[in-house]
Amino acid sequence: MKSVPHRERAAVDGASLIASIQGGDLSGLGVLFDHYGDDVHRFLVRIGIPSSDVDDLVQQTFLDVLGAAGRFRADATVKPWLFGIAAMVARRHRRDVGRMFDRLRRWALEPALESPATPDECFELRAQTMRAQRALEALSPRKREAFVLVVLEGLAGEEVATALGVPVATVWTRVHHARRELRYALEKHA
Amino acid sequence: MSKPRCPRSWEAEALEDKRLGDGDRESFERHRAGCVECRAATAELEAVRESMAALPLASPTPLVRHRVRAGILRDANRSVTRGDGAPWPVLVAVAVSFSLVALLATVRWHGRGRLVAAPSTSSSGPANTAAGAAPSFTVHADEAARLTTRASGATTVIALEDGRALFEVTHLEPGQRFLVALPDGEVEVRGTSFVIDVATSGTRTIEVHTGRVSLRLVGHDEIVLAAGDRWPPRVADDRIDGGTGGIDPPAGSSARVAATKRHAITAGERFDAAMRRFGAGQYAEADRELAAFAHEHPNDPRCEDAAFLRAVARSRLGDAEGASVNATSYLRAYPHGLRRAEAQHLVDAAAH
Repeated sequence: MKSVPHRERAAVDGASLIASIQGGDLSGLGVLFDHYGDDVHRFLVRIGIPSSDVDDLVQQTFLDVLGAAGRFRADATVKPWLFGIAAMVARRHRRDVGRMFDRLRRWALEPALESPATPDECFELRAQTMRAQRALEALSPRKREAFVLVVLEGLAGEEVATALGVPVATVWTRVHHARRELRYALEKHA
Repeated sequence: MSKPRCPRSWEAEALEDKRLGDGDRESFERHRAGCVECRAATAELEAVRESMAALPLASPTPLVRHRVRAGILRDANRSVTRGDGAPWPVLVAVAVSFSLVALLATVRWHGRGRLVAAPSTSSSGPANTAAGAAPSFTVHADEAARLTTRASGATTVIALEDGRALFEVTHLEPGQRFLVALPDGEVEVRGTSFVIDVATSGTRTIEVHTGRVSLRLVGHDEIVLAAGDRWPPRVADDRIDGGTGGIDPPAGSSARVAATKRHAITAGERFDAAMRRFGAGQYAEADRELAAFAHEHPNDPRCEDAAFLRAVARSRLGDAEGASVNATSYLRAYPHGLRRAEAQHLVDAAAH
């Protein structure tokens, strides 16, 4: 999903954009959303935010930019910085039994795996997807964030360290443990 | 996952993470070409990455993107111009919106049907709240609906034989009862509004708008439906209807019940039933049904959630020891589980 062509995305000067937002230029916030809204959306989905909540958290992430713009370093990259804000927004949102309950209710009402009308291939694919999703959700939030940013979003360790506010070594440790747990979970259910 | 014997197997992960310099990378790639263990380690890393990358990502539609963008700019503008104080104009707007929605819903029902019964009060009259008096209620029914009202002291029974009706019942005082008799059971109200659709042979649907109702169908356990609940659940409709997109079947609910019985209860339906119990505050029943779910569907990925919720259910019953037992079972089965911190907390709480 690319809402803005790559050529236009590359042309944006992130530091200037953040500086203009800090100066009160709200149109800059719209431009920032046009360029990075889909990236933030994808990141939030991958770290396990329920689809019903993702739009709200995307919105909150960009609203938090207003308060965080002053802390943006001119030499930093915008996308990892936004991911760091989104991760904080997601942490506030998580670990609420009420939300877990709602999610499970919605899940329960999805078409069941045992549906005899489903072809075998669809059944197996869906079962694999659910296992993978479940394994990713079972990671602790911090390991999941590191894994998603490094392995799935392809960010460099240093960028992830800056985004999450931890040493680079911590990023690699979290990614290593995340991989081990995912491998274990996938092997266990294989 | 056996312990690696090759001392260079860790480099497979470093290579995957692009942490190796050119020289180290080339050296490891030469080594890996002749090392079974390092090739296997690389394959495992790729498998994990591909499994996770293959997870579906729902993209926002242009409309959703536009809505979120507008929301960001609106809220940002508000925070810049007015700070983070209480947005009372928004609250007023929301309240007005809700009132309009409620008014429209009422008008829609009045327009479609007829005001059948308001023996003690109507929506504009005084509420009859004296204990021992009949409950206050209003019923808006479709023209074709067939129903009769019977009041006896503080109990009112409306027999709905056929058709669709909206019931609005004000808060019941102790001793007051309001029941809707159905061809195949009854619904008991606890101060609520809800819609029932009935065919001569049985109940088609019940939708609860506010409050709670108890549904007691012949041959079935009582079900408590809370605001927003619908009976039968929509997924069950789709399955029984053969995926006809929600078109009502020609037969009434008896046919539906029979059809349901022909199908084995699916994991989703079983889990939903347990969650309904949980949501209705029936924690003992929820614990039992979650245990049954895990027993019947041991490979379902929701078993972990079920195990944790069983501990929460016992805790909410005030049964700290039972909560600890269930939490210990959870920790034993899922040592890396998502809820291990909360489960450990339940165990620790019982120990003190």
